[in-house]
Amino acid sequence: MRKIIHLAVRLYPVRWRARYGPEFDALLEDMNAGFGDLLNLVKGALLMQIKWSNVPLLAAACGLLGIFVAALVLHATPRRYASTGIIHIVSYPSPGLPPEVPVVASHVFSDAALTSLIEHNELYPSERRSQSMADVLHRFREDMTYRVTPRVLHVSFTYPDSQKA
Amino acid sequence: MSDPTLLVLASLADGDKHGYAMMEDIQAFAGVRLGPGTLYGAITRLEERGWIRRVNSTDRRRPYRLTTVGRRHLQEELAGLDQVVKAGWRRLKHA
Repeated sequence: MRKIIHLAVRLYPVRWRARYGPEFDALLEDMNAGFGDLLNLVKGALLMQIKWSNVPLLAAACGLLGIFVAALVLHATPRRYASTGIIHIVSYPSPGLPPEVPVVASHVFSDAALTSLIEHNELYPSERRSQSMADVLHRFREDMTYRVTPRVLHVSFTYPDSQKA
Repeated sequence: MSDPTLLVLASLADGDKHGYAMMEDIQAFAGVRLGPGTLYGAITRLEERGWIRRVNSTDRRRPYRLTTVGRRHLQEELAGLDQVVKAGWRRLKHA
């Protein structure tokens, strides 16, 4: 953190650093600065750049700030993995899907079948501890997409664990 | 009272202080922790206005001192705040 903070001090205008740099460094060493102080420092540097109007450096500072915020958002967003299965029906003579498909689908996506899948694969462990199975099933269905187009069945599932997805 | 410039002026009212000493002092008397960017933003503005000035020192931790103009400005600001505080208390008592 100390290294990042000392790098962030460079966001201040050169003229400002020439005047206040050494004492500012001393302050940062004395106060054992943390993450909140880093944000405060970056904000202070941007305001000082606007005030002392060094436009190219201000643009670079905004760019760096944007990268920093994007990295934070990326880090804070939970990763999710998707698996997709596609069934393409080629040998059925009539247009559309065979009549058996909706029947099979209603079995596959029934509460009993999905509950068995959840239990067998130990999906949603924390939700199962705190919520009813009906709520967990609702969540499971939200994480699934099931689309039917002429001759094609498309099933997709997203989950935080890549292996289980 | 959370205006950083006023907090810095109030901190320097009883003597010279460097940045970290001001930060600690302000936290002690006002319960406000100024971040490094906020503190030095305030110091920069106050020095530009001539309300504080640097004291010569060989240490990297350069102390600052309230100037006569800065002291007068602080007195005016505190008098204004005092009026607001008194009016607020008076109205609370009559409410």
